[in-house]
Amino acid sequence: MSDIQNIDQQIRVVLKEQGRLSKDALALADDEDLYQAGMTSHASVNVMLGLEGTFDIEFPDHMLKRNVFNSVASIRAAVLELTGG
Amino acid sequence: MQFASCFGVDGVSISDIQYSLDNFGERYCRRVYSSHELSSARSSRSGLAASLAEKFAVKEAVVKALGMAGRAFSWRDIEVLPGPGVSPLVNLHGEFQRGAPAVSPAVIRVAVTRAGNLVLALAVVQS
Repeated sequence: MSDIQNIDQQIRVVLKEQGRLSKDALALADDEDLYQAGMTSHASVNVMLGLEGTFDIEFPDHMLKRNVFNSVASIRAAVLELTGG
Repeated sequence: MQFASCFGVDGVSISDIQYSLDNFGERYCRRVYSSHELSSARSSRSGLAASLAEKFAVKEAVVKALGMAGRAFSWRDIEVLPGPGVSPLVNLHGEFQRGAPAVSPAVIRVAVTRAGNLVLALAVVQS
């Protein structure tokens, strides 16, 4: 499994555990809207905290916006930026 | 007579807040709530989780009322504290002050209600 695939898998696990999604996080399309899939604003806080714990990162305030947590793809981009990947 | 410009509404379950407290503890508290909010919540008769649920519902309702949902912000920049009456008082800081310089606490009206595990908040920004 490549690094990107590994990151994606970890992101999906966090979404499954914290996202309160109405769909299976492991089967979501990369660009599928997570809010449309059932993630509330409060659940997105838990997703953020889960991601920070999983990847040992901290989202700065300028990245705390809806479109960063909108999809697996957008979360991946943010994680890669914060991990220097 | 003043007329409402826009409004926002949100609902939060108290059990979801308790889940966050149980699983993320102080990390959750520090990222979402100011020290004043945490202090007032910890001394609230309704209990910590219920009080924080009320504050979060108000924060999200205010975000929607101000049309700030697509902007980057810290949840701590909307501070929800006990008001002189039954309704909470909202203080805006940081990005919310920059994004809404004409909005003062006096023009944000908030109403909160609770039905079992669910807390509902309505925010109205008056022009």
